[in-house]
Amino acid sequence: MVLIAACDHGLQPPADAGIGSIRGSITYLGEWPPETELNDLRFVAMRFVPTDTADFFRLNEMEISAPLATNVESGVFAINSAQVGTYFYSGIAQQFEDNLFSWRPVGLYTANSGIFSVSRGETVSISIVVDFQDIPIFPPQ
Amino acid sequence: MVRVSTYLLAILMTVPLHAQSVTGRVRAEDGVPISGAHVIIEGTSIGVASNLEGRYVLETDITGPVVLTFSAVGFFREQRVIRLIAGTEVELDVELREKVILADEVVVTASRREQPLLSVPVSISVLSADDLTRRNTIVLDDALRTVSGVQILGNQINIRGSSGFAYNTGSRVLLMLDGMPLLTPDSDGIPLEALPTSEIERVEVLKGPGSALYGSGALGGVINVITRDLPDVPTTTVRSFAGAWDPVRHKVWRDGWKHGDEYRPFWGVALSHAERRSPTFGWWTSATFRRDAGFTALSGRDVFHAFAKTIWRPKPSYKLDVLIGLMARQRDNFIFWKSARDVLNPGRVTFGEEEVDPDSTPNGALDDFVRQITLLPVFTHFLGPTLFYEIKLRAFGTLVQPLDDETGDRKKLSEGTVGARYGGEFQGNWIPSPNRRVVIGFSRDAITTRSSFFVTGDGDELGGQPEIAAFAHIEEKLSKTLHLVGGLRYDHYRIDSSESESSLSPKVSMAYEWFPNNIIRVAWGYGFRVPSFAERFTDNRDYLPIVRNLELKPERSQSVELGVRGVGELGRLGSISWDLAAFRNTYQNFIEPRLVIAERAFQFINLGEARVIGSETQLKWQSSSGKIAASAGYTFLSTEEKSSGDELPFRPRHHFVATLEAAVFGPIRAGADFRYTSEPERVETDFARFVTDAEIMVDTRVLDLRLSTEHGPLKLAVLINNVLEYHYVDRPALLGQPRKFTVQVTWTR
Repeated sequence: MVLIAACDHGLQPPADAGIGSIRGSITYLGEWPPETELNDLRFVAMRFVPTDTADFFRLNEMEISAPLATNVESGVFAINSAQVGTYFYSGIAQQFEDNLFSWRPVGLYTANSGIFSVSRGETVSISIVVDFQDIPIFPPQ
Repeated sequence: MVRVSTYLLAILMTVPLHAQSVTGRVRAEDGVPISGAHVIIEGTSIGVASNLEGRYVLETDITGPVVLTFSAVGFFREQRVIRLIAGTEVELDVELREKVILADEVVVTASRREQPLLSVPVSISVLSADDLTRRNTIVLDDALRTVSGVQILGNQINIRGSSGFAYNTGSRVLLMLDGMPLLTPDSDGIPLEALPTSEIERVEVLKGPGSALYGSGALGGVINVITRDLPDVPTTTVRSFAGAWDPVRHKVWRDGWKHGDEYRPFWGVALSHAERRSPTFGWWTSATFRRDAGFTALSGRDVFHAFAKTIWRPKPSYKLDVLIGLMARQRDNFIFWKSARDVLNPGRVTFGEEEVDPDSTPNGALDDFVRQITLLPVFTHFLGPTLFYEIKLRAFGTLVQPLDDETGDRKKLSEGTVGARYGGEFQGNWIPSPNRRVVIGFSRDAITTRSSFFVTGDGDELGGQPEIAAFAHIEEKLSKTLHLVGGLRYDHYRIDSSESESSLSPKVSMAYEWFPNNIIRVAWGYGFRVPSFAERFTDNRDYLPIVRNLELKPERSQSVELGVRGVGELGRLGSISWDLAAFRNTYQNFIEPRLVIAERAFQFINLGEARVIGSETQLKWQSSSGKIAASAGYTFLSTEEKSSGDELPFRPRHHFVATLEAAVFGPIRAGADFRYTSEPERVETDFARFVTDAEIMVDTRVLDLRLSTEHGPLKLAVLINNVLEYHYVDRPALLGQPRKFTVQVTWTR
């Protein structure tokens, strides 16, 4: 009975979902916020649509780029090891205070209703426009 | 033995002509005389044996109060305090209670005094010194995993569903060493590594609230570690062991770590010595070192601990025991894995594609150097045949220094934790009549902790949580078969400069011997627990965002239990004992960690009401020859969080343990332990927001085998743990122990 009970050997490694890449270009419009409000700036891609800043805790369901250059007219970003899957809400996020929850979107990926998919070993290219005079509403309606 | 008897005879022959004497008869409870019973004046070498009629005559030149100890094979020991007056004779008849096969264990945790397990009106399991040695127990949790109703989650202990996974903060199980609380000041789980495993006489596990006797912390149960008494002859033991962790079964896991394909070694040595230096003084000491490379990356550790206990009886009516312990440990503490595909490497919670030094320690592991010191003196004074008191002092200090990621050097203490728990207790024991026992006492304890992790309500990192308590415990034997117990304890805690908490914890229990050696028991009691320092004051975002909760209230519980315990003979099939229990525990202001959206962080909060209903069945069997023994225990749990109707997280519904021991050939013995814990009915997924695959839990099904033989002073044992190579999680995102092989050699002189 004991042998039967343990013959499946328990926990096993799940199948490898694989990784792909996300690359993109950003165009900035309007006047940049003051330096005191530019704590951080990154590209963020979420595999869900957030409803509250508390969703920023779902770190395992999002991809976040390295910090982006500020006070420029355009820029690029790359995430080389993005989880395979569909991303429903993506854009450029600005941290306006030194607090994990003081983030807001300043420009969203809007093509194809804002949805894109990452496949194993492939690279997705997207482009985003950031207009500091017309930033998106958060949480999304 | 011959030498001892000769010595006794020599002493008896030197007794003066007008010596005092004690005479009487030693009989069993049914009146049958016991021949060969030993009657000894405690703390001396003076004693006699009873004759065929159970009669004894003990003469001595000692005057004043003395403690007489009566013992005989197959019977429980009894003690009486008498006053000897010069030239007079005292008559003292004593009845000894017969030990029953499989039920001869004695416990102290249920009533703060020694009593037969069979008559205890609450649920208690006992691990003997032999149980620990057979399993090569290095750290106590290895042995506790084999106890019915006990589950180990990392370094937290869950008794009958009282605790889930709580990030190593706060414990609903009180750990005691020789009856004294041993919670660390920083509440970093239960300090099981700070125990002298080679010097343990037995471990008692009280299941259910013990707050009426032991106060806060005993909400879910009590683990009382009893150190051994002195042997009759000097004894030296050297125990050494060595072994290796087997590489894990799955290649994907092994490939993720450069040492994944290697056997990872561990070894250790324990030295101990005990002796009575004189009739009034004796001591034991032990020192243990062990090194474990660990079966995952960053899980190795070096541990050294040394303990000593002195027992001094300057007069027959006085006793002073002092236990001192030191522990030093340098460890890599694996906190959470990278993912279920990479379980041998600690994970790293990062925000975005940050530049990370690949040589730095991921925050899924924490390296530290810990030193702990324990000092436990106990003074006992026998005032008369029915009255004695004990004064117990306790001090427990800890220093935790994090290690530098790059150099491995210890960081400053200001970046770690400095803590002390200290206090004392008075306990008076009075036997006003043969059928009544009264225990009263009071205690005063304090905790002082300075930690970079804790921010108190005063804004000061130095926190104190002083507590005072008073307790009373009365046992009344209403008839030969009915035993009633009542208790009440008042506790008062200071939380911070502006807040304090008080609690009154009553209990009532009853044991009725409805058939010889068969007891029905009913127990009802309150329990409570003041939030630990870590639960209330931890405020840190280095690993996970955790914020303090100054509004956290004590949790309270109410428990009802109905049980039967008994032993029986099966003729040529041997003997059997059983213990069946049904219990219902309800909790108010239950404390659990949750991701609090409003705080944007984890926080320990009061949940409201929760309940745990369950049953436990334990069976033990021993063959008539005594060569084969088996035991099994099954616990069923049903839990509910009242506000949501959900089950409590991380509680299994089924828990089963079984043990088999057999003398297979000559001095060769074989043994096996099997344990099964079902996958928790509910897994809290907040942790999985940060840690990949932390929501994955599976059943636990572990089989351990062992083989041993003895030749003179040498004992050799071979052990294989998790022989079926079953992989499970010890707690979320932490792989349980894989298969390991151990060879143990013990030399005793």
